[in-house]
Amino acid sequence: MTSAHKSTFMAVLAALLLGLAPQIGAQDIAIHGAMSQSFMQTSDNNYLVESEDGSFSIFEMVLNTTANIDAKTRIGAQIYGREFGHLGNNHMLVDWAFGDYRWRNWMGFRAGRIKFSLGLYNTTRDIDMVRNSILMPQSVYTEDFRNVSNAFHGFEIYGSVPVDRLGSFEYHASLGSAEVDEAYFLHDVFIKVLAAGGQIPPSLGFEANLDWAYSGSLYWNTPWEGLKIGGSFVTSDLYAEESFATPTATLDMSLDMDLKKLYVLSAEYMRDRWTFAAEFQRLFVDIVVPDVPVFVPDVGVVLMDIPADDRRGGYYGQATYRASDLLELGIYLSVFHPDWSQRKVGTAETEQKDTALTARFDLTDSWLMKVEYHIIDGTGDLPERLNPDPSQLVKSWSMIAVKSTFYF
Amino acid sequence: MKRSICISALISTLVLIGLGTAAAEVVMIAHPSVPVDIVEAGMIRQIYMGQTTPWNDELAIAPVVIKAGPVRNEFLKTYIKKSSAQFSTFWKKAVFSGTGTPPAEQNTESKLIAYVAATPGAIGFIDHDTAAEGVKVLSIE
Repeated sequence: MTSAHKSTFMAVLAALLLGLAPQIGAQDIAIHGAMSQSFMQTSDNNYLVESEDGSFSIFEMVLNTTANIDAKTRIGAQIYGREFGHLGNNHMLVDWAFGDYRWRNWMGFRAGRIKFSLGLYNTTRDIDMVRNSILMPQSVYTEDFRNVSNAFHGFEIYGSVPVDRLGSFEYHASLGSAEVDEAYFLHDVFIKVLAAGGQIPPSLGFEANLDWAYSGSLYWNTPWEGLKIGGSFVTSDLYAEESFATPTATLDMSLDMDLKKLYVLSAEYMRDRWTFAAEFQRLFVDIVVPDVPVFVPDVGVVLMDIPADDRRGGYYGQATYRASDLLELGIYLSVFHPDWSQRKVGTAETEQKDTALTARFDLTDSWLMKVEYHIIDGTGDLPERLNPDPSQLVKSWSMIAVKSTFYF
Repeated sequence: MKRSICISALISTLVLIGLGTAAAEVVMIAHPSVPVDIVEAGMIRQIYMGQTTPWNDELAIAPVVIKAGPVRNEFLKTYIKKSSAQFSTFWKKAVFSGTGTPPAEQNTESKLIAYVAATPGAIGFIDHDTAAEGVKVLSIE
């Protein structure tokens, strides 16, 4: 069964479960959804999509339903589809689908497909209505890495523990595995290896599996009203395969990824009409692409194991101000380094600093518009697949984005 | 000069749109089946943030809010410590991450009182001066 078939199976299973909900006495059945269309254009360079000429190829849709079985038990499922440049192709996939039993305030259990509780916003990163900006700070919420750190199949324990005058602590601990249907983070590893050999052949298919992912988070709702701080992590192994069409034959490649650690440190402060957030992320990944055919002069073609470790890191600070029911304004600075150890070098390819000015207009209870302008310095987050000639990259560039979302 | 005056006027108008709601004193009401007569402020917050378990094994907590207006704003500011927009965003996050069911919403106080009177386990809030029939008024500690 391919990952696409598994996702379809999960979607049907989720629909059946929720269809059965009324038969088993479930109450408060709710259905919610949203649909978004975006436009992005950059002054130079292609970013996330083929943006230099302007791109409408960013479309998202989401639909969910939940039901209360009894006073402590809930079930629910959400399907999500998107076109994000070459990502998604509008395939509707199960975003999450789980049963939830809240035994006590301080301990509940979930089983099914569950979002990783990673950073402040990973569980809602696809939901446009809950944030101010169109594009989340890419230093922490990287689109190319989304499918690796999005969700897993497994179990989760969670709870909220009040500690008298010290506020309260929220925790999540989870264990599971997952198929990864597409991940440009991994695709780009193969592309880099192939580009070193002077060719970037078209892909014929990609599949990856996340094995035994452990994750956890701990947040402290401090006694200082509105201030929340904490951290979260994921660790796992991953195996990926991709086939490429070379001029002479099909080239099958694979990689082993040891996701040693992905962690995020977070802080959020809400006060009246203001919300401030800051997060810092580091990724420690060891990758080996085995048996890569390499031409060695005087020897011929030999198979070699090519390392492609990733030590990226980044951080952002964000402020938003709700001026009225209609208007919310925001600003963020997002700093990304593809290799954290090179962060002080200061060249274009070792960093990408994004200053974003954002505005959100809540036009009705179910329709919002967003517009934002980005001033970007550096090219450290621009993949070769969208920018095949590195000599053409421009260090200082800008981007404008517009988005409209309908929801219910 | 004209341009800066226009921008200032626009910003002032936008800010004023979100201001100007008078503070209201609220009281908590509940369905007669609710097995408490006194609620702590901390418990009110837990209930409306979805961080609490049922009244007992048989009776779920069914919080309800009024959709808009000064009573809602005052309640959220005093007990939940959030603005109306922050409260809405909090529950949208819960809905779309599957982690919670938001409080029911009613457009008017009379509908809210009727909802609480008809729904076992329900808890809500109304203006101090509004008459409440068919429900019990909870004391707040």
